Amino acid sequence: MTISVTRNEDKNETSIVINGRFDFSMNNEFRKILTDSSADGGAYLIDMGAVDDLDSSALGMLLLLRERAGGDTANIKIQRCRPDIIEMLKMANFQTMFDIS
Amino acid sequence: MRVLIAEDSSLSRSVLSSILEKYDFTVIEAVDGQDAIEKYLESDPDIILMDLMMPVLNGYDATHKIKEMAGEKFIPIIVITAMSETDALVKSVEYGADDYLSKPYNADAIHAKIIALSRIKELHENLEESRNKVEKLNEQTNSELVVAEHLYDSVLAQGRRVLPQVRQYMRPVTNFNGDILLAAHTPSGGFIVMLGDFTGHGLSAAIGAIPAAEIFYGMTRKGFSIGDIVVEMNAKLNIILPINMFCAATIIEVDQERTTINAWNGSSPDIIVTDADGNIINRIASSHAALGIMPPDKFDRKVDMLSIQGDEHIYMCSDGVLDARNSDKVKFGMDGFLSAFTDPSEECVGLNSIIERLFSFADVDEVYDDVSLIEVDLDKNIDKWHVDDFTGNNQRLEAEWSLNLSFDANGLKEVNPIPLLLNFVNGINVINGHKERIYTILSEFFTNSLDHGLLNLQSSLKSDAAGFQEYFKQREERLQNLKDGTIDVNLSQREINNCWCIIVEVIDSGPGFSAHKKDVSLDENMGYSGRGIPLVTNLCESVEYNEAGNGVKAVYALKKIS
Repeated sequence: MTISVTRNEDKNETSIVINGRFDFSMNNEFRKILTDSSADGGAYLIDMGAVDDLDSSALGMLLLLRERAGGDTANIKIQRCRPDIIEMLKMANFQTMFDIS
Repeated sequence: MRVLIAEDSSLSRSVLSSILEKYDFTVIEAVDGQDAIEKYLESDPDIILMDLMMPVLNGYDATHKIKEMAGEKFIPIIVITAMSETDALVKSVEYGADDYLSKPYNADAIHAKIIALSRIKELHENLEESRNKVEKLNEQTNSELVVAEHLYDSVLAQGRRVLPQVRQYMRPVTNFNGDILLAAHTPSGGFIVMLGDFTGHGLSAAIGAIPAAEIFYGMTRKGFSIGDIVVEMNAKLNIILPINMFCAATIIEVDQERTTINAWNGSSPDIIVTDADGNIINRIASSHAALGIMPPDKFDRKVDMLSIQGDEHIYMCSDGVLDARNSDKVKFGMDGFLSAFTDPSEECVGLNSIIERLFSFADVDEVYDDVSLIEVDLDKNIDKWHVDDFTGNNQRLEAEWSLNLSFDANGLKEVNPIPLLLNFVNGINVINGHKERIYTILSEFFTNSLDHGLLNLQSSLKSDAAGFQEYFKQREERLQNLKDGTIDVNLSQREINNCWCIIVEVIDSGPGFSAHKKDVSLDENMGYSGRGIPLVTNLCESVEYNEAGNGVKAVYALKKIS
């Protein structure tokens, strides 16, 4: 269970790679990303390729990030999701709020 | 630092004392094991040097006794042995000693050992302090939880008195459930059941449960539809809950005659509908975000509608059910859940079959989330609905009165007038039992006037399930585009032939429609379009339509209800 963050200032883009079970145990690390990012955080790329499960607090964290990144104008791409993860995000109707692939 | 020396030889004692005093330690002397125990209790030293061979009580027993008396507190004891006494050393450790010193004494070695042990003692004390702090905090949290749990329970108590047709299995992860079950009858004799799953568990999860329950019971009682209820709940939770918290929910509404299920699924596992033989005939998947996420202007209240026979069962579950894992970390999942229906065991059916399947699959240690399962039996004979549930003033007002209400196109678009009408009916001082019937008459007439009179919708559309959906889609569209038109409702009480009667009159500004024709057959008006006018005709002394077909008047007698 780890999160790694890389910031590309030129592109104003933050890449977040999450590993393992995306759940409440990542709360502190995730909050740190939120406090570190400025309101004009630009684009966010979340690589979920190595995420094998997520729970409702993970959904909550994504909502926090979306709010922080400008709500309806947020530019957040959730990428490389496994099919079952996509299904879970869809059940929560997150495809209407995030760019999921 | 205070050091207790237990040594029977006065020479050895004074040698040790002088070494220790050189390092600025305060020395307390004891002459034997028994004396050591007494001095320990009297002076509470920081560390003890203990000779093993002493009169009265030897060093082993004194060590054991002191360690026992110290309990959780760490008092370092260094035993004094000769270099060769390995057995004695082993034995003293067994009796509780922490370290040893061998004769002849080396001043620096003694000092080093005392310093090292006092560090361990300090560490031990810090640990103990933190542990006490945690314990105290824990106690505080627990006592606050008890208060919150009481609050929560008293609000949800109404749900405990669940309807007989609703069976539940709820297994919280903590002593506080993040899942809530709400169930209540509607004023027209149908019922609404909601299963909510708040983010997280415990107190934080329960914060939103209290307002949600209040909205649910308040609005259900007043006759609002589930669409209205989810709109209200979402708006409230959107305000009070932090961004990262929400309530995944399934909510279903079934009418008294068991002809229709209305369902709203926001972020929850599929609602399952099974037929009389237990086969799955429908699944209602999530098509909305959870309650509390969307701002009110973006919220989607669209409800799924299904027509039913009245012999079905409905199953709802929280995602804790699907998330339960076995020891290989494989999830129970939707497939596991569905297998309880597609491949039922011989011993049990329905809810029990799911529970049995779940717990024979899952490793209890791998169940991280609250597990909630709801089964609703649609057989209306099970539902012992009593009109007493909607008690009011039983004093009957024997006087003539009349109420007139007029709704224009804008009003019809913005408010659902049915609950408003119900409030009027509730305000009428008639005997319980009549109110529900008057309400049925009113809402039936009103719906006909709106749907057929003003919106010109065709009942024939509702002849099958697909048309049924289309009907409500068209209804929504036409209502939003409605430019003009009015519906007048006149409600009055009069004495007719020595019997007090309520007269219900509904007139719309439309051109008149076929459902208001007297020759409407019973068969034609049943089926998907509901109990309709024939039921109303049965309830009333008389039902009359005007020439144009845009007005109806019913006389309902306030006779004793058998």
